Amino acid sequence: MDETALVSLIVETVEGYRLAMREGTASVNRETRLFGPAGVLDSLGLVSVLVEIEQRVADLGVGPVSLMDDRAMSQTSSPFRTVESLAAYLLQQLPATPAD
Amino acid sequence: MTEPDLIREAVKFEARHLPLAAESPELGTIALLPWDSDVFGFRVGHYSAGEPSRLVSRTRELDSKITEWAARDDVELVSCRVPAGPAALGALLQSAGFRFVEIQLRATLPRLRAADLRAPRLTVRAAETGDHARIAQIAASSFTVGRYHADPRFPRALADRRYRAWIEGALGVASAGGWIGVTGPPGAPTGFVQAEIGGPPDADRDPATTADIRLAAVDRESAGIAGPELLLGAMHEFARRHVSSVTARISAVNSAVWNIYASLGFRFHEPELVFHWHRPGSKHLLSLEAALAQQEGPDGRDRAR
Repeated sequence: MDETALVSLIVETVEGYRLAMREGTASVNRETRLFGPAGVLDSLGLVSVLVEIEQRVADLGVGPVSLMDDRAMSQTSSPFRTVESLAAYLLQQLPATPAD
Repeated sequence: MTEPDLIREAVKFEARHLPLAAESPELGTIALLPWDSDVFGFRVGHYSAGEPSRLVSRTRELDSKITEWAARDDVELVSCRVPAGPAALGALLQSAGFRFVEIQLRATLPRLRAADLRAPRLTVRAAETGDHARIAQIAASSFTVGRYHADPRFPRALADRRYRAWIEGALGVASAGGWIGVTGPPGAPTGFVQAEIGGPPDADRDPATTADIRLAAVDRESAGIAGPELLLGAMHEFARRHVSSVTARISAVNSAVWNIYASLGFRFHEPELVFHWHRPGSKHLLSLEAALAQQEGPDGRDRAR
C-alpha cells in the first residue's frame, strides 16, 4: 500500500468512528488534526481508531502492524498528530514488500 | 481556650468539623482544611450542610455565620459538597452565598478480573526516583478539571500548585498501599496514575482488596494513547495484586475520562454538587475580567481529552 491509500484508509476509519459516535460530520482530510486541542478524537477514540486501522491493514493482507506501543510513545513528535503523520508512521511499520 | 483557638488546635493536622454556630447546631458544621491552606498560602475551609428543612428560612443567617467564622479565622474560601439528588439544598446554598462549581461522580469497578482486560499496549511500570521531577511537571500542567480549576475566579496557578503538591507528597511518602505507575521511558514519563491499595481491617473475614485511584494525568504533548493505556495498565497491576474492586472520583465535565473508565467496565454513581463560598474581598479572587483572560489566554487549556 502506498501513502495515498493509507491516508484514504485512515480518513475512512476516522469518519466511520465519528459517524458511529455522532460526533459531527466535518470532513476529514490529510491535514486533519486527530488528537489534542482542536483534534477530532479524544484519547479513547484515538485508541479505537488505531485498533481498527491495525485490523483493516491485517485484513488487507499487508500487515500485521502494531501502532500502539512504547516505540510510538518514544517518538520525539507524536505520530498521531494528523492523518498525514499517522499515514507516514503506518507506512514505516508495514513489512517491506519483496521485490519481484 | 476560645472557640477559634479550639478550632485551630483541632485542625492542626486534620480537618475536624465543629458546629458553625454553637447555639445553632442545625446550621451545620465547618472545618479548616489545613493541607489546602498550606498549599495556597491562605486559609480554606469546608462546610457540611445541615438538614435542608432546618436551613430553608435561615440562608441569610447561614451566610452571616460563615462570614463571621471566615473573618475570625482569616479564611478566604469555603467549599461544600452535597448529593446531587435534592435540588433544594443546592438552591439554599446559593441563597447563602455559595456558588456552584462542578459535579463529581464516583466511578466503581465492582469486580476486577484480569481475564476481562485486554492486553496492554504500553508498559506501565512503578515510578522511579528519576521520574519524580517529570511527574510533578505533568501534575502541575495537565489538569483542566477539579473543583479549583472549575472555579472561574480561582487562579489556575494555585489550582495547578495543589496537584503538584499532591503528587509530590505521594512521591515523598512510602506508604504500604501507595502505588504510582507511569508510562514512558525512565526519567521521561508521559503519564502517571496514583492509587491507594488496601484491604479491609479484618482481612480474615473479608479478603477483598480495593484500589482507589486518587490522581491520574498524562503529558499534554504525549501521543494521545497514554491515558487509556495507563489506566488499563493500572488495572492489570491491581489484578496482579489481587485487588477485587477499584474506585475513583471523576468530574462530570470530563467526558473523555468517563469514556475511558466506562470502557474498562466502571459504573458511575453518587453524583455530588460542589460549591465554593468566597469571602468578599479575598486576596486570591480574580476579577471577572482576569477570570475570562485566564480561560481564553495562551494557557487556556483544552478540556482534558
